[in-house]
Amino acid sequence: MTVQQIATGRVASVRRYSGGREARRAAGKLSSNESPLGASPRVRAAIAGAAAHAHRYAGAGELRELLGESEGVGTEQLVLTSGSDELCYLLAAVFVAPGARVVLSDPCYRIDELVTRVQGGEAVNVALRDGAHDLPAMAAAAERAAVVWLPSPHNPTGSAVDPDALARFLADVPPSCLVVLDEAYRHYVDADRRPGARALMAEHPNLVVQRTFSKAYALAGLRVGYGIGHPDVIAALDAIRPPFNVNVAALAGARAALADVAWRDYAVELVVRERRRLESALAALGYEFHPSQANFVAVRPPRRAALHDALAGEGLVVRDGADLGHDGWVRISIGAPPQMAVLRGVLTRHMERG
Amino acid sequence: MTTEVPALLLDRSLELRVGTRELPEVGAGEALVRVEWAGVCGSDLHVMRTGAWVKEWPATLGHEIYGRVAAAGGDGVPAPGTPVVADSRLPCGACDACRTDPSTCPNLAFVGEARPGGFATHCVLPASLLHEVPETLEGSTAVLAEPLAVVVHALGCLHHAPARVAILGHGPIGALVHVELLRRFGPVEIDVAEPAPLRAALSRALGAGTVADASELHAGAYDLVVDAAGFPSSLAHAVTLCAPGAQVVLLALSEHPVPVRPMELVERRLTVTGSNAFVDELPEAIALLAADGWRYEPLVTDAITLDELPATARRQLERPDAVKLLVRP
Repeated sequence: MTVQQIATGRVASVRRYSGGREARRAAGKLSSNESPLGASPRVRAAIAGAAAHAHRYAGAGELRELLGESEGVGTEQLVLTSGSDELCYLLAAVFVAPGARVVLSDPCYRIDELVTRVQGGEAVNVALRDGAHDLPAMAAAAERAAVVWLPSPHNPTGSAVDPDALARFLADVPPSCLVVLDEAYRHYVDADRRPGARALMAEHPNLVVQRTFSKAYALAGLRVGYGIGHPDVIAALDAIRPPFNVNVAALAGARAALADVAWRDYAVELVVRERRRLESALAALGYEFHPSQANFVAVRPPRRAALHDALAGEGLVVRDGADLGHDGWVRISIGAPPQMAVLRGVLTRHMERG
Repeated sequence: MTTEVPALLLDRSLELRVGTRELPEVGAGEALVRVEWAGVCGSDLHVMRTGAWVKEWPATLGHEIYGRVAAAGGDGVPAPGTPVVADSRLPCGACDACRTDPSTCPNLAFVGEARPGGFATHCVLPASLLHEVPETLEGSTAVLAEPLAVVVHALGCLHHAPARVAILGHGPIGALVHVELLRRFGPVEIDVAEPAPLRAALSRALGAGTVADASELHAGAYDLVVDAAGFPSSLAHAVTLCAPGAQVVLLALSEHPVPVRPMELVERRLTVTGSNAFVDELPEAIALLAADGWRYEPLVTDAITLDELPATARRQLERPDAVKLLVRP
């Protein structure tokens, strides 16, 4: 067997991840769940200031300390990663042996599925119910499983698990099964519906919480994420992560963003206002959609191709559900208010044309 | 030939509705503009509340306009397709002031009040009002040029670089003052008085100490106080907040008589400066937006379609919360 054949065979079962398509202008890109407002002036200045240290290897200690204070955990419970996706690769490398049973939703987050297949895991997909995780079915599937990937809010539906239901789910999952609660979109969830991750981790050492600076902190382009978990789990991840995996500009930006809570909260508020405005319009126009707790809304429109064309005519690009395992749907990232007004106009005309 | 276009109509009874209005034929030296974005100014809300300044009913308000030329009336008019923002001012052109400096015209009127404005899919404007903007500039950012010109003009009146500033009111003008002060003077200390939650949230996001009421600010502490609120006692508050030698810049239009002790102005060497509209700052405002649009875009908290405007305007009249509200006709 040649190396070419080995390489091809190794990833034969992998569905390549591709990002959302670009729009004519950046503001019209509603396909990648990015922050429309961008980083604050102070964060931009911090990133620019990092240029002076570009010739040095990055020291992540200060950000780990700040994150520990912010999350109320010790630094031994934190691992920094190059975007939260890198944490998926690290977790799979440690916990998914060839043939291991791995539970995902259907549809699932594509990176969770990708890393499972790369490690030779046996994916068990549990269908969503009305766009939400079917937690009892997932708990049943978790018997003898190595990992459960649990994004909440779910991508692409935007549904968030109920905190009480999550607690019951964790009690039902065997302690030998790792549960990865991906909270990339946590800040967009109603405050009373956000799980108390620290208390849950104290009770369930098999829980790892995944967070990112890509969404509410508006640093998608810098790639900073982190995991919170039991010190022994974190130590294993830390042992295999690439050295200096978060670069100096990303560390500087993340430190400044973490200190700039008022900007983060304002940016989140604008997104939540626009999400509600979009959902009201969708309901009034008679569209089928999943009520969302994230910075996107999944919609099942009639004549999907025609809608894509109409949006493109206004410089807007959304993500087709087929890319995300949700055929027949489109996922609309919440953009800035002007782009959302244009979007509502297109959705109105699209429905009026029947 | 006349053309009917969808437009916001304000009746003499102050009823707001979306209907159609006939556009006049495009005359020589005029342009038909396809409006892509129109900003809602505090003065638009004032007219909706009072009917002031309107010369022809029903009125189609809207004097902050970004669009593209759809038809040009003769030479010297930007070619069809050109992206433009409009100067909002309409000097009478007949008085002595207009012969020397039209910006001081005592009969100065505004687009939307003296002639149909931008809350419509199209409007006809004198080409002399139109300023071309770069294709690379987002229209929803370019439309901020008119209010930004107002702020650039006001800050041109400053006597000194401020160290500590109080801004009363964080609506569109107060927030633009805030952003411009940060851009010009860097880490100047700024406090804001603003009761509306979203406007207050933006002021905090920009780094200000924020309180709901001007009486909670620090008396005698500021070397610049900007009144962008215009509530009945705001000028009196502004004077109280001044440190010796400070300047008060008045931008808000308030009709309320205010008791101010002249001795206080004299003994504490205070300067009170009124600033109205702008003179020739529109090109500078366009250049600022083209260079650094990201600084100003966070002010756009709300954007709506023309159909959504009557209900949204009524909500803003009852309880203003939006910082900058844009309309997509």
